[in-house]
Amino acid sequence: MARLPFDPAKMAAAKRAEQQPLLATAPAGDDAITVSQLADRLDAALKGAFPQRVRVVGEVSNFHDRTHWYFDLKDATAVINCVMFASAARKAGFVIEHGQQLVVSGRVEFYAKGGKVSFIADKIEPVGAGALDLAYRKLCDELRELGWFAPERKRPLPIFPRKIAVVTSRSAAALQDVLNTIRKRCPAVGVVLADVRVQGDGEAAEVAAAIRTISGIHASLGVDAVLVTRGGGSKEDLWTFNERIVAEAIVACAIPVVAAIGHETDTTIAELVADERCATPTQAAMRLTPDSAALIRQAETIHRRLTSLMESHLRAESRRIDSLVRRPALAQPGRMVAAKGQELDHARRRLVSAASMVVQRTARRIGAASARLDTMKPTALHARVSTRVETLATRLQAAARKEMASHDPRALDDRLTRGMARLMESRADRIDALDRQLELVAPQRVLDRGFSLTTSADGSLVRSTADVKPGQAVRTRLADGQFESTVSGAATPTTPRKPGRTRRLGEKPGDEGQLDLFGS
Amino acid sequence: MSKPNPNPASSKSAPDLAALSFEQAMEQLEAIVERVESGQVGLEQALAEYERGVALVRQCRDVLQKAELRVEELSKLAAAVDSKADGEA
Repeated sequence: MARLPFDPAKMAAAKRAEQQPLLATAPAGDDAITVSQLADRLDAALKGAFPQRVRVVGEVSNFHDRTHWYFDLKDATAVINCVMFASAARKAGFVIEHGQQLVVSGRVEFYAKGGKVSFIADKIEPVGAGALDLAYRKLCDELRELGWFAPERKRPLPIFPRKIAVVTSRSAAALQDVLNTIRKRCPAVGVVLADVRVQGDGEAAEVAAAIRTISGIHASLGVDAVLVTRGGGSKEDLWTFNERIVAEAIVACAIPVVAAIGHETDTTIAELVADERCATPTQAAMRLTPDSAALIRQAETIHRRLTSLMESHLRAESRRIDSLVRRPALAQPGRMVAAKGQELDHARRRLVSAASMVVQRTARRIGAASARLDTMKPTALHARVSTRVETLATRLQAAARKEMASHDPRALDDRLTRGMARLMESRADRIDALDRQLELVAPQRVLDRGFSLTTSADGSLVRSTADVKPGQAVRTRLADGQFESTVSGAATPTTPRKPGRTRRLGEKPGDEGQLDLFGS
Repeated sequence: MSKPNPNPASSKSAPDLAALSFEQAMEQLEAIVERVESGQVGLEQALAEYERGVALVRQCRDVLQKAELRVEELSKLAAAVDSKADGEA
């Protein structure tokens, strides 16, 4: 009761009023009045004695809620019946509880039907701490209804805030606790101090304004979280943080808010609406700052992990290189060369065999030419040429065999192959030239002696009368040139011959056709 | 909070590291470790990532080890912000 902010003088006045005699003059015994008249007079006297509304403080008992509220208000020595009509009760803002200290405002009247003096209450107020409790509970209910306490509204705190805005009094011990904790734990986190009064008039407005300012410019400040804090104190001391204006500012704040108000047993509305509540300023500072020692360990762990990853990466790459190096292409280049050498050797064999085929073919042509030469006189020429040709052929074949025999496949190179090819070609060319020479020389000698050589249009030698038909164009070669002519008449064989048998040039110089041609 | 571009292709050295917040640097570090760990980056990129990762680790460690607590006053900061805003307006 000592803290009650009420004027004791008023209370004394109220008491005196109750104790005053109700009527100054009592009616005489014979002039009896009715009970109703008495009641009227009592009522009038009461109203006369208390023309104004009265405020009475007392403790509630016997409270009944029967549309209207009925209760007794008492103190140590007196009691009075109170009625609060429903219309007034609805505006009370709270429901009366037994034992509650109330300041009741109203007027006194005599309730004739009940024969009692009643106090008609039109306004009730809770007294002292009770009043604060009620206001607190009322705001709690209201804000809970708004969803401001809802866990899903709470935002996660930044892991590593760049700066923390601390809303507290510069002189508060709480600030020192916060700064010491941050300095010890992670001095890389900066602090922006919002110096506010945390006690006295207008303090709630100041706290709310600071929070709003931070919220408005947090981005340019680099502030990632707000810490609203105050050390312990009485319920009245902490009342600032139960005010709606502060709750509104916290809820509207753009960045997470941590609140640590008073001791752990005190729960303020600011703490209920904050994104996180902490028991003490130190705990709040710990909650908001990362542990730099742990972070350094983490960074070092990452460093080691990255390095070992990198090393294994490099090992994997060098293994790849190793396995590539072991591949035959790189490991045994000689083998590749050998394989190529074999290919080359194979190519060479094919070339040699092709060359030897040329040699053989040429030899056959030489043989044929030689055979033809045989048929031509003089024999000496034939024999000489033939011997020369045979010698050449023998040498050629021997050379080819020698080339083939002497060749070492491993040492073979392009130059050799090319040389071989050139050799073969040149020998073949020489044989060809010789052959041509033979072809030219042998008949020329015959022609010199007056023979002629007749060929058909396709160049084939006309050897038999069967080879020509009348009207066919033929070419006749003489010693000094050639002319073309047309067969004018049917060919007449001189002697019957077996068809297909080759008539040899020079053998039948008297052949009629030939003679005819030669003669024309 | 807007995330930094974690694109490793933009791996530059010191200047852009300093602009990173600690959280961003840690995020980038984690991304780098994940990428290198996945084995899906080539050797050259892995080396570049590693280099950046080591620079980030160094930066984070420096931030933590060399920092000294700085306390600023909201009233002064707010006034500065206000005058700046007035100047711009």
